[in-house]
Amino acid sequence: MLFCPQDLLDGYVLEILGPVTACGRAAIAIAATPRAGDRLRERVEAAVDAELGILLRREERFRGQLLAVTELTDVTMNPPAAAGPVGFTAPPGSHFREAPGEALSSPDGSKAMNVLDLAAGGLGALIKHAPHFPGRDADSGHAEAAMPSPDPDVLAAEDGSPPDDLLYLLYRTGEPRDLGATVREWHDLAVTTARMAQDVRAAGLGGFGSLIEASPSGKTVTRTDARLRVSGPDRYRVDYLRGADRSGLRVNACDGERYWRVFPDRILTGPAAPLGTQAAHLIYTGWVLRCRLSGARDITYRGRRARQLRVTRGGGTGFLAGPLTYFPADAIVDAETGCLLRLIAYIGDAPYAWWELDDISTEPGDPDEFRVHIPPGTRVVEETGNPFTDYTAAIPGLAGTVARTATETVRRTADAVSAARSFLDDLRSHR
Amino acid sequence: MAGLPEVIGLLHRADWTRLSLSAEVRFESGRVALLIAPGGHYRMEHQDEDGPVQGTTASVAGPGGRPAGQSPRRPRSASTTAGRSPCSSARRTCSTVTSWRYSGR
Repeated sequence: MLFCPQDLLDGYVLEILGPVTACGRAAIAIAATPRAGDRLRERVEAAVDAELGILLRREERFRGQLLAVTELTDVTMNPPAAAGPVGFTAPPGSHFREAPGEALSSPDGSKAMNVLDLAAGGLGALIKHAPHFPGRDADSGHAEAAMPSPDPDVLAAEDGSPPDDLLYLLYRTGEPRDLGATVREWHDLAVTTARMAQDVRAAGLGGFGSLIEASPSGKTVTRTDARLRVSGPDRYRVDYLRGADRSGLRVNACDGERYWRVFPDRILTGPAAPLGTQAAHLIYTGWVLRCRLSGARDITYRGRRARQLRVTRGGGTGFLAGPLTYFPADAIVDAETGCLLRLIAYIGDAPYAWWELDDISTEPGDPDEFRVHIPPGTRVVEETGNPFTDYTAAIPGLAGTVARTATETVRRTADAVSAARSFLDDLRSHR
Repeated sequence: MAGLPEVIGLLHRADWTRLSLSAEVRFESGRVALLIAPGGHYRMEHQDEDGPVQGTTASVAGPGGRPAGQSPRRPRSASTTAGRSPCSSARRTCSTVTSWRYSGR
């Protein structure tokens, strides 16, 4: 939090409050307010070290109430103790054991949490990619033989950080604006599932790994084409021109009050919600600032001025970053809008996902186009509000079964962990 | 005074793995003595009597080690564990880190 402040660059509106001194160091006081529509984040006030960029103090508030204060005191730069290795090694005579073993043998519920963590990780990756599963039978309208070839080629690893104006452009994409574009996505499930299965097996959950690996076969590259228009975080419309997934999703729209997901046989609807598709991460690109960036080469891409970046995992990245589960990635940023004109994500040397925007327009759209007019007789389903349940309910076939099973596993494990914790808390209180 | 673009650049480039620094970190549940050296080396020592001590002897993949600002779990017994970075993200991505923690001083 103090040392990885990049989380403040994604989903917050920053305001400079003025210069301050904290721990005897020059700092800049800032306030970070969650962007409109984000009800989960807290307001943060912080003192940013004017030289290092780390936070010297961080206050978190929710609905006016102070939740937490974290601060540095007695800061010394270049202390003698940091010069040698002695202070960073374990004490002499220590008996080492592997950290995962600690989690698996702990009596306080850590084992369950470890399983939950892995199950949730697998589930997250599944949900992220399951809509693109071609399935066991070839889906001729959806599957392709191979990913496209990058032109221009991706950037090699470079030193240096992008200039402030480019970082500021990415930050400002979180502001409401009108934008229309054609979205194209490719996903190679063979690459993704091989890596997921490898990760899960390495964690000792071979069965779950086999389940993951069993899903894709045949043509494993899927392609989705859509026309996207946004006018704010909860005002958007996505018309799928070429298979969003095998569920047949045709339209995903929200008018600021309600959203609709239109399928051939039903329409799902509920209160307004942000655009949850991966394409949203090409429009709202603040998440990129949580990654480590290099390159920033000036290029022209499909007639638009742009900058090309290499994106790798950074300290503030977390497990997921925008649409990315794995790194590195290559991004081409539109110099006018800050959108990603192209984003290619890699596992090792193999691209596992490719997104691109084309035909970009910044003209305001007709407000009426964000609504879906429901024909008489259409089956309309009000969604439950549980994102896992609602999302997995729409995934057909084996992939859907896998995702729903994983959802149920997570739910049951969470219940078990909750029960175990209650028991242990109760036990401790009676000691 | 710095403008918003400069502050955004400053926050984006913050990288504790390049720092050489000692400090005390105060948060709601306690205090931690923190020592950081370039390359991602750190040592954090809780100031309460039985609090854990933990550190790392090799660089983590970026400043994901989060040496401060979070409260590590209190171990239930005296032990030293060797593994990967204590942060969840690096734990999944980095196989070369040797991090350790012990309690029962």
